[in-house]
Amino acid sequence: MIEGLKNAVLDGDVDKAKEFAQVAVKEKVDPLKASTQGLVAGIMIMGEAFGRGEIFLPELVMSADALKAGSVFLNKEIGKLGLEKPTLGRVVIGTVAGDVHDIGKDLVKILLSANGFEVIDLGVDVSADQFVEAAIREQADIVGLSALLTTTMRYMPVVIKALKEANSPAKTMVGGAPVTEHFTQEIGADGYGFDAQEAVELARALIGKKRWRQPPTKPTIPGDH
Amino acid sequence: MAFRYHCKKPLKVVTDDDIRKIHEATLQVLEDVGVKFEDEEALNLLGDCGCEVDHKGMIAQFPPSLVEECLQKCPPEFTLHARNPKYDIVFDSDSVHFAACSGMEILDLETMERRPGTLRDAVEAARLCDALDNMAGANTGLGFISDKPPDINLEWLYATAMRNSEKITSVAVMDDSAKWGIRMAKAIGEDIIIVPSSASPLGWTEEQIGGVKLATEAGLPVGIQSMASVGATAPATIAGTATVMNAEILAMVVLTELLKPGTGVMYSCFSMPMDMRTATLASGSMELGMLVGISAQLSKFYGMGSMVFLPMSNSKLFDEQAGYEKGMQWILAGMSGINLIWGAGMVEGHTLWSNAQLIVDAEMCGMVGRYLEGVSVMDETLVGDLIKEVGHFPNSYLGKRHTRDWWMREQYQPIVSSRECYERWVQMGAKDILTRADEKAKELLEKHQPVPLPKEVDRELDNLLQAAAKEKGIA
Repeated sequence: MIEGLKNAVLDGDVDKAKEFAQVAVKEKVDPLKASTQGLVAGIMIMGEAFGRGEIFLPELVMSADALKAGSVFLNKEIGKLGLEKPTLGRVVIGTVAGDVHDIGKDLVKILLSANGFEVIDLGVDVSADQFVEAAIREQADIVGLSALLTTTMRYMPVVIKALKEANSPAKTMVGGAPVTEHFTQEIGADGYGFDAQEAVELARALIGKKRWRQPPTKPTIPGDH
Repeated sequence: MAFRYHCKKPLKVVTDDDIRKIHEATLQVLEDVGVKFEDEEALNLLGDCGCEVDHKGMIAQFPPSLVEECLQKCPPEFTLHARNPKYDIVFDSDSVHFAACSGMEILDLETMERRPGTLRDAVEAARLCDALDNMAGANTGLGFISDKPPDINLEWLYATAMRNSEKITSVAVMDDSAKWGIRMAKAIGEDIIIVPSSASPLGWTEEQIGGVKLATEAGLPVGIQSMASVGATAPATIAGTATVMNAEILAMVVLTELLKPGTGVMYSCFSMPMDMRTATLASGSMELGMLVGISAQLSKFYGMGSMVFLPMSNSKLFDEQAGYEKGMQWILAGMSGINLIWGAGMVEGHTLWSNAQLIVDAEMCGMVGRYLEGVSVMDETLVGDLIKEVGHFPNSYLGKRHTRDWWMREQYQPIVSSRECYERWVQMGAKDILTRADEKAKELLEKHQPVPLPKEVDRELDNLLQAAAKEKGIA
């Protein structure tokens, strides 16, 4: 079952991921274990393979789609049982208001998930208010801002200012084709990822020495409740 | 990367009608002006077969009927057999292969100093050609091995190529080196490329005619190369040069097919314009590329094979000029459908070699090869259903099975070109193309082991080298 979930992610098979996740829920397999040792284990293998240049973008995105498809069912169950997923850190991510380009942002999301981060994706055309609201609601460790256009990247400082005013403790990271190191410093963001791989390194650095938000505990067997 | 590509829609530099006009003009030149053959035996044979021969001036004038008759004897298809049949070179209407050419000196990338080539350089060049998928031939990269006696240096070159690669090599018609090259090739059981060159305008020397005799005796095809230089040894016009080039080549085709009917011919254009400001040959010029295109059209018109010893560049460095001059000639020769394009690895005419340039050229060949593979238009590539499924922005094709299955078939994967973003490039050492290519060459040399010759065959090469040395009076 758990092996099946992992293989579904490795094969980038959305249907199989859905199927195994539903069976896991039905047969009352520990959803945390199914998620971390199945789906997440699979995407981590793919993330590393991508980093080594052994697999390429299409394979990685297919695997991420399978992860997403399976997670829908498992996350619902995790929520129902009141469990919390172990994670390296929680990242709220989105493409800033006025900009609807999401391929770069999605790639960062995929690689962050593939490296043990929990990512809450706010989508595209996200306003400062929406970023602030999500950062506080989700107790985000990091807020990631993406923009493809030189016109829309000018909205990034607006979001950063709003987060500071709301006293959000989240670190901010920015990225996208027009963004530069200089711009990052100018607007007071905490870091800049020049490509998706770098964004993962950056997120790790921003989280600092803090390791697992909640160390993985002995798997709870649903039957024990 | 493939070893062999196919040019299905060859580029036309001039119209089919223009090709017929060049052909007519050529027949006129052959009949009225004739071609000089500095070889009594050849002149006698031509005379016996219907040419009007001026023995004093050593000139043969060709009746058009004899030319047409001999053209009919050229086989439209033939194969040069390599030691490993995987590396056979096919000469036909559409096959295209790329290969490396020779240089005289090495440019040391670390010191940026030139130095003479050595046996070790030749070994490395041959091994790299063997390692690179899209290199069809292993000319050893050096026309001069400075640590061997000059008189026997070409023989060493051939033996080195044969020992370090399973791919075909080429021999020069210089002194008697072709004789030894042919013997060595026979010993290892492969064909060799013999390319006699014209003495333009409209002449063939005894030495080069000797090369044709050797090739036909050995049952090998002949690469017939014209050296007619635009403005110097040929008219200043491209059409006029094409006519002189064609007359030189057709005259030798007649002799070749009379010596041995059915001998395969590779039409070979080496028509560099004379640069009138510097009195040098413009080896990296667009006009040479255009003449190569015309030579491909002529060879296809006659139903012959084709080859060229280029692209070249006039640049003295491996720089942008080398890049654009070689890049344009690679694409022109490839699009024209020349069967064997034999010019990777060097710049400055044919003189300066670097392993790094060979890698850069292999990259360009890969890209030209991608062009030749063409665009497949069918249901599976038009993918109407998929376009419907993905629909509109912001959806994407990245996660689709079709993308995974097709992207690598549709996109050429560069071996050394930089595609990463600026910061990643800086992080990786901010290396320019030559540095990356040089590293790639070193990596290949470390990894790749060519299939060695059987021990007794290798000994036979040693024996031949000794015999050649003895005959030439060296130790």
